[in-house]
Amino acid sequence: MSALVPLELWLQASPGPLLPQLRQGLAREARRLAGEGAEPLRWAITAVDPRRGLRLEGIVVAPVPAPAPGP
Amino acid sequence: MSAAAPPLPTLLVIPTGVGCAVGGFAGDGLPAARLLAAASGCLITHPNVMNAASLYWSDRRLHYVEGWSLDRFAAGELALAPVPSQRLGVLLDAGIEAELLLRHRQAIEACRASLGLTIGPVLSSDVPLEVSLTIGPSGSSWGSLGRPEALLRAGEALRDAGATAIAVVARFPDEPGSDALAAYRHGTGVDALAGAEAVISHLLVRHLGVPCAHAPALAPLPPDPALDPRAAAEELGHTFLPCVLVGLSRAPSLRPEPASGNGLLHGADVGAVVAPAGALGGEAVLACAGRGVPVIAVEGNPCLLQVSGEALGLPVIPAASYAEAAGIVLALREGLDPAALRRPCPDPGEGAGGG
Repeated sequence: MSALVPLELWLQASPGPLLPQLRQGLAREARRLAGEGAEPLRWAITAVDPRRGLRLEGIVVAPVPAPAPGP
Repeated sequence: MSAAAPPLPTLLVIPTGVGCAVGGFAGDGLPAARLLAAASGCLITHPNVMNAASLYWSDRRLHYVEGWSLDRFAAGELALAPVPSQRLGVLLDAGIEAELLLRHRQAIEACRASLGLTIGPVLSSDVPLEVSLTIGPSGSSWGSLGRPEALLRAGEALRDAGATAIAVVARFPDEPGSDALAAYRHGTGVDALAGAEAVISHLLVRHLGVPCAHAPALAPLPPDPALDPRAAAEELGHTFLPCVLVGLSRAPSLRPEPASGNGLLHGADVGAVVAPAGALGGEAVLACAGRGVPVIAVEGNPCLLQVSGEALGLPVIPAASYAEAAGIVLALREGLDPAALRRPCPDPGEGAGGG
């Protein structure tokens, strides 16, 4: 079971390997948007701005809790 | 005396839904893929490059790998296991109308009867998948599913029934009068369907761990005399399904790393990655660049994005076109420093990425 949530994130990267920083930022944003267990499903850097950093667009897949048992 | 150099596993990435001039339409990246497959001896690329609706090209040197698994492969998390053939399950959206459904069933039958593909089972989702299309802040196409759990349930049923690869056909919204569709058909716009297609296939591959790819089901469009040749493949028939079935029929199986066995392709084997110069911000390219794999940035494939090597601080080998990129791949395969082919000769410290 899952739900899909769009993601847009600006991220300031520090010197050093880029991908681990992106993954960490995306994972944090996915959890913020869709709760524990949510993960980025598809993403890309879509802009680079000298002031704001890197813009990431993506979609997050979130686990949907099982429906509560009926009365 | 001459002997062919060993293959140089090469990734070709042309991101979906960002309006790439080459590969942003209906399988119009295929000529570039064929050339790069010949140059490298082993090309790994994704359905957006290969799918041309009723048109397709099959080549043992070309490995058809859906985008989510391509990213995992590039990151060293999945290995690819080439196979003689896959058993194809087909997942049809319950939202497809009867006449359009019949067209798809006949396309499946045609691929069995005329191409000899191993297809079955075929089943429909228990409820319509409810595909929606959106445009992101960059202008790239995205999309979603109202009922992702129905997609995953049907995928599980196909896998449990013996399918080793899965083709999905989802009913997409018809937008015959839209400006975006007109621009796409005239060769100036973004493929509005592509983002949602990628979401569908990513979701399914992530869940099932088998090769998957997607074809949209759409009502036919009226003929357009100004149709761009790059979009024409999608107007030849009633479905976009044949290319997906052919591509999946020889798609490599996916093995979680660490994997061992003869003939497996590992991310660590990749010797070059080729991508549009302005679209280097995807996971596969960044993963390869992070390991020092040469990134060949094709400047002759402009798109909506301007995420270049310079902007990201990544060293790249520039190529004006895919023909030049193929020459660079061949040079790498032969053990030549591509920089040695340029004038003026670079400083020794510049190396292959210094062009």
